[in-house]
Amino acid sequence: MAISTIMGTEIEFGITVKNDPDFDPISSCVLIVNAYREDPEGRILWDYDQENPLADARGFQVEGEKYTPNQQENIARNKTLINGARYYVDHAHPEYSSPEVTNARDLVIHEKAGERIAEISRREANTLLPEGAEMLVYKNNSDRKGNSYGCHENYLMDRRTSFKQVVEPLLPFFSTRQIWCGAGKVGSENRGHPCSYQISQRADFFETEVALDTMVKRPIVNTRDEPHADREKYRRLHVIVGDSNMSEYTIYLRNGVTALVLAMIEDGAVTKDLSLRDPVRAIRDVSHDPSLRVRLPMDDGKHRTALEIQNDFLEMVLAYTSSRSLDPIQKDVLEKWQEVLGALARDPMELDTRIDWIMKKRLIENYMSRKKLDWSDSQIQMLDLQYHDLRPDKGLYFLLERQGKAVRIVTDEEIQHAIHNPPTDTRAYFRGECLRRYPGEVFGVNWDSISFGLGDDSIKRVMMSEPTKGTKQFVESLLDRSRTAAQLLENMQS
Amino acid sequence: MALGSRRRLFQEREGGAGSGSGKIRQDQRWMETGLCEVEAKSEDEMMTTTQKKMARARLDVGADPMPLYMASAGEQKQKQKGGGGDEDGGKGEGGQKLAEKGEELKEEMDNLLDEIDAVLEENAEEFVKNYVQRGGE
Repeated sequence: MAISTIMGTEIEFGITVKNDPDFDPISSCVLIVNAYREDPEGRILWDYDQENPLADARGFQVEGEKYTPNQQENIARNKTLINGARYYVDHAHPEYSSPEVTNARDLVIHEKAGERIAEISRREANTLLPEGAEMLVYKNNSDRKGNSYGCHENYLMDRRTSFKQVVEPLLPFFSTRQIWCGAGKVGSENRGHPCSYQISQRADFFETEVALDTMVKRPIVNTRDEPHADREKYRRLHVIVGDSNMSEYTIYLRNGVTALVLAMIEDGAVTKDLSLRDPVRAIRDVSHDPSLRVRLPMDDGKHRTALEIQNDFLEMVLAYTSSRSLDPIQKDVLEKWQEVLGALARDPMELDTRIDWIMKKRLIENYMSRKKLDWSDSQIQMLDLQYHDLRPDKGLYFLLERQGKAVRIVTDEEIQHAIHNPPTDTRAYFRGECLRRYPGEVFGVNWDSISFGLGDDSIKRVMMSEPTKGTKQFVESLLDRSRTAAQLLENMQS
Repeated sequence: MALGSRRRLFQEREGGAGSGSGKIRQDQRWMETGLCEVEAKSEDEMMTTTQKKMARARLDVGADPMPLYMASAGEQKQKQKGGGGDEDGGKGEGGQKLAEKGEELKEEMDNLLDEIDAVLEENAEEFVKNYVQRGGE
């Protein structure tokens, strides 16, 4: 089966400060990121030398300037954590990039750990704000005024799979998967048709099919070709089309199903051409139709609903996997996907404890009917926003969770553990453990390297081009034998 | 894979887009670990490369952020409340009369809506209006 699954997510949080007329998003971001004090102290750089966000998967380099801050700014904006994640300031948002994991269940654990890390640092940051002011953080994707920020998924893929081969099936898949992984939104924006409620937070913002941009003219398939690994062997698919989900069940499906579809693509097992005539129009039309009835024109002249297209993908994945052995998590993902598509065909509201856009819709409709409100009411917009509030006592998603109205995939203990511990089965283990064991000697970090300053004016960089190596299995004894980073480097060569 | 061919792969990578700027100076060793040491640079050298490229895209953060950083030395580590329990209501399906079930569900919903009222941000109109973000990504 394809190559081994490696995935991760990057989450940009919305941020605001209540009762502060001088609220400035950038300094608030610097404040919240630096307020995180759970890890050992260290002045560690993010190593921009290793980055190239302007390489395009279609085989060329786009012109533009690479962002490289000076040393002090670099340290103030970037925290690399002992759990292998990066917590940093991205433009005007705090961002959490999870460590690399090997399966959808670990992905849920580490994405949820990211929410808690943001919440821990939010509370710390609040102790530094003037009396009465309160910083608030939201895991959503838009301010409903036309500004969007992302939740990006990353999947390691085989370099031998041509990008064209990847794009063709992904356009219909990404345009329609929102029916089971949308986060739901009240109203529309960015010149979208007016509507009361739509399935996806992000659909209004996609304006083109395939491109490198992530901030303007956003594409359904992003072409950033920056594998953060051996580029002879790997590509990294950078997925920007998804929503920030709160529901564990939805996150689990979002990454688990997408990884299965990608494995099928890599193994050349796509048997049906499901090309849409106009994917950009389709992604919006699907989002604006919670009844799931809209029929999308296809290249073959027929029309299909989003659900029919998803069922076609399910059928192909079932055929693909029937002759392969799946691990228990992949099996579970596949069963749940099947279940969810079945429920969507009967009555989407059956999923009101599992799928974000349906959970939120149920909550809002119940509230509206009790209070005799309508969709345009500001209290309804507040419910939409507060569903994504990271405060465990105020966030409405967490309220559902407390009341047993959100199906869980992982446990609180697992999430808590992931705040302080890297996954053990990817190179994130080596990164996190080096940061835990040698904080004073780590000089700079990137996804595929870590460099050490050994006090003699020399910097030594260790490359980690294999995301599946550097695992506990491979490096634990090496680390145990090395009391200092200098010893580590010595031991690596002996 | 033999060391020789690994080395070749690596050198190609060094030349390609997205590669690091360093040259392979030290004996590089691929171990089972998947790690290899590729370069030894002086701190000075490393900073010069970085600094040359800086400034252009520099965002002005206003005040020097470090004093804030130092100021947060407060020790209070707040315990996570956690997301709450895992119980799923525990309502037995069998044998219950429909009316009772309906009543129960209504009660649950009423509790939920009461809780929402207790936590929902006051001045929703003002709050929603003031929630403005810059685009990200």
